[in-house]
Amino acid sequence: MAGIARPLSSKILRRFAAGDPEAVRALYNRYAKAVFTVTYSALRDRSLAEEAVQATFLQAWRAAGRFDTDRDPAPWLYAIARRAAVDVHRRERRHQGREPFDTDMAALPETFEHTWEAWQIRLAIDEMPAEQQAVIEAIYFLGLTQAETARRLNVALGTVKSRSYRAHQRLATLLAHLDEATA
Amino acid sequence: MTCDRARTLYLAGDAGDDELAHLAACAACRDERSALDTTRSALSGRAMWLEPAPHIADQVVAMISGSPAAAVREPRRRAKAWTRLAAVAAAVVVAVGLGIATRPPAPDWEVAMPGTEAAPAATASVKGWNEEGGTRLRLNIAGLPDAPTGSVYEFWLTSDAVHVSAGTFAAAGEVELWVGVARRDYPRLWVTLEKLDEDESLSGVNVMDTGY
Repeated sequence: MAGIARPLSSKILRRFAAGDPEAVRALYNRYAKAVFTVTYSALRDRSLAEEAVQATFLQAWRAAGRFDTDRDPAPWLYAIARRAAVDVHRRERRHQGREPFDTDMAALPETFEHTWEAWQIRLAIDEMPAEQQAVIEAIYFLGLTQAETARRLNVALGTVKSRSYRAHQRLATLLAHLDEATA
Repeated sequence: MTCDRARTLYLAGDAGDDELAHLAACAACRDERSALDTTRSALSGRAMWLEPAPHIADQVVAMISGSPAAAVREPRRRAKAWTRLAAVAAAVVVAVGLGIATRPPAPDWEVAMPGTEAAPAATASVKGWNEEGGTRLRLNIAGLPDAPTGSVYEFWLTSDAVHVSAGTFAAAGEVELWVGVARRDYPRLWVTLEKLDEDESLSGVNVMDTGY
């Protein structure tokens, strides 16, 4: 399966596999938003999600020696991120006394169900030009109309429409990728 | 009307009668409807747009830079021979350059972990290094059979009813793990046998245990 995100250079990945902390920063800069999308989607708590982000990159660094630098790091990092969120979730449940040992802890909340799709969509957004990201963020996150978005971004309404169309076209193209992944 | 245009406008919430008619009539587009709806739902969620605080990146790099990397990181298992040789050569250069800086420090604590009735021949020594943000663990395990196919051993630290996993391993020998808590807060160390499946619950098959 082809990756959605533009991969890091092979040079950066080799430095990461060799344990270079600054290469970890490069990996963080590329994937932290998507990792946070996964952990926040699952945990619905900023502090816990940030803790899981930290754990994700620390665990990735610890396991970097086993990472195949010829491969796309995104699916590997997603698996670590989801596992980190599961660990934080389990710990919090036990701290709250809501999940004592030797009881059935099999069921994770529904919030864990669509983290792969959220990861893929966030990576696709990260690959968009900044002006397209700004438009769809205004529409979806801020709940603005296209006219309001135009005023907020100080561009013509037609510009917002064309940027919105291209952004959604890009995401719609992504969906075939999602279908393949979930088929 | 093309599939691309109909899907794009539907995703954008701008589909008119023509696009909706196409989406209803086109088998390929009908198959895409649920995925389009999933994407619209995801785009509307806070998780898609929030970001970790800026200082998290610095914290991650600081924690990594302050750790004894060579001792904590797991071994490269798929390295080609020349890569291993290059790594050895680099390590020699670093060792020569830094003197004894790469020598692992003495552990902050060490404890014996005997086998339970489930694995009576098993025994392990557990060495721990208390570090910022957690504990580095080195297990030296003997007498424990290899985990059956489809299972792994999982190492836990426990305080009362709170259990924190430090990671998994498949066979006896020397194992290095990391956990984000301190042993003074989680004094019981123990190992369970867990199946590799979707079940997140603990198996309850306890094979080694220090007790409290």
